Amino acid sequence: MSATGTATPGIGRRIPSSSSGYSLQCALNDVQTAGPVGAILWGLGIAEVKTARRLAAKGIASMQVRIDRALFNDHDRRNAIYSTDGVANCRVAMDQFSEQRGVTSFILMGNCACATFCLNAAIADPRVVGLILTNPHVTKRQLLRTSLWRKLSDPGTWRRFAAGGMSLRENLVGALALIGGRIRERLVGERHSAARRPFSDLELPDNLGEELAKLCARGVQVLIVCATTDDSLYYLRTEYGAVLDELQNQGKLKFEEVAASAHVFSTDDQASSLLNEAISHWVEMATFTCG
Amino acid sequence: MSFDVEQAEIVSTLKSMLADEMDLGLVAHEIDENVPLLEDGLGLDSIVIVELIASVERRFDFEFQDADLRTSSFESLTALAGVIRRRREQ
Repeated sequence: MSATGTATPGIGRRIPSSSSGYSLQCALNDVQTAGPVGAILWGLGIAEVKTARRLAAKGIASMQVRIDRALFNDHDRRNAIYSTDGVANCRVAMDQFSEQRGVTSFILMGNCACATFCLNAAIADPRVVGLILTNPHVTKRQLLRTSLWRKLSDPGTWRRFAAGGMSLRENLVGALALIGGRIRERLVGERHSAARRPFSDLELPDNLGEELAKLCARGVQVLIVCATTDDSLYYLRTEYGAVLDELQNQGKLKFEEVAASAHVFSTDDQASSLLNEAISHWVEMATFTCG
Repeated sequence: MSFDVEQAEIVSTLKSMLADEMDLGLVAHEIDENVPLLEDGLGLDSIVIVELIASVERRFDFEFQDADLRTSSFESLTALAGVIRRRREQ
């Protein structure tokens, strides 16, 4: 084992998932001088190996995790599992890592769907002290709401509409649904209700700003990285830009835009390098408060 | 040792590692060193790649640098052998 940490014989180990019928595959990346903080990295790509080594250089051991191959390659079944078991599987991975290495506090990292359920796991589990979220998955409903609301709030939209430059039929259904939803939110306070939970592990909370502020107040260090062309960047900037700026100014959260067009960082070497630069810098600055 | 001989030896070792250590059901002499390691070629899973990275480092006694951990390094056994040879020369 080297000083900077390399993959150990724990590679390829299978652990039971939170539900029956499939397993999780994991690879442990060990560190000689590991502290009480470990990282659960969702993904077994080369990029995650690089991330694991960057973290190892900072004394943080990692466990790379993925659901087993047959399910991983089936997009619909994979997302169904992420949706129902994402948070529970994060807990399984943390329990396993804890048992293997005595780690008591965790950084969770994921891309897209995995980023979203990692966030939900952090909200639900106090053992999480750090989050690395890349291109978090945003649902179509959330994207539609954001883009429609933006359109409706833009005077130019109404000018184009009055001039006959927009089709009433194309926009009416979505607009009415949006307006109805907003009125309902205002009336029942649903949008800002702390008690409201996302209906699936694959959905960012609608009170995301509030949840991020709570996580930061709890001492969780958060790094959010979005590729320039990714929907998540547009959604987060439009809906939560002010909160993210405020938390960033307070030094509690880092929100980075990476000049890349990749949605999956692990398949784009340049994006992966930029991401790992951001992670290295963040780890350098972050102080993890262990429970 | 000439470039070609060293490259061929590394490729041969890599084939043996895949056949003997990875439980993939591959036979060393049937592995084509020029086909992609992933889906369309040898069909290696990402976890096998992680395993291969660790095994190569143990066997050849070096550590991949960040710059080596690129998809192009794992395009084929020939490409991987080239990375290993360069690292051993340093």
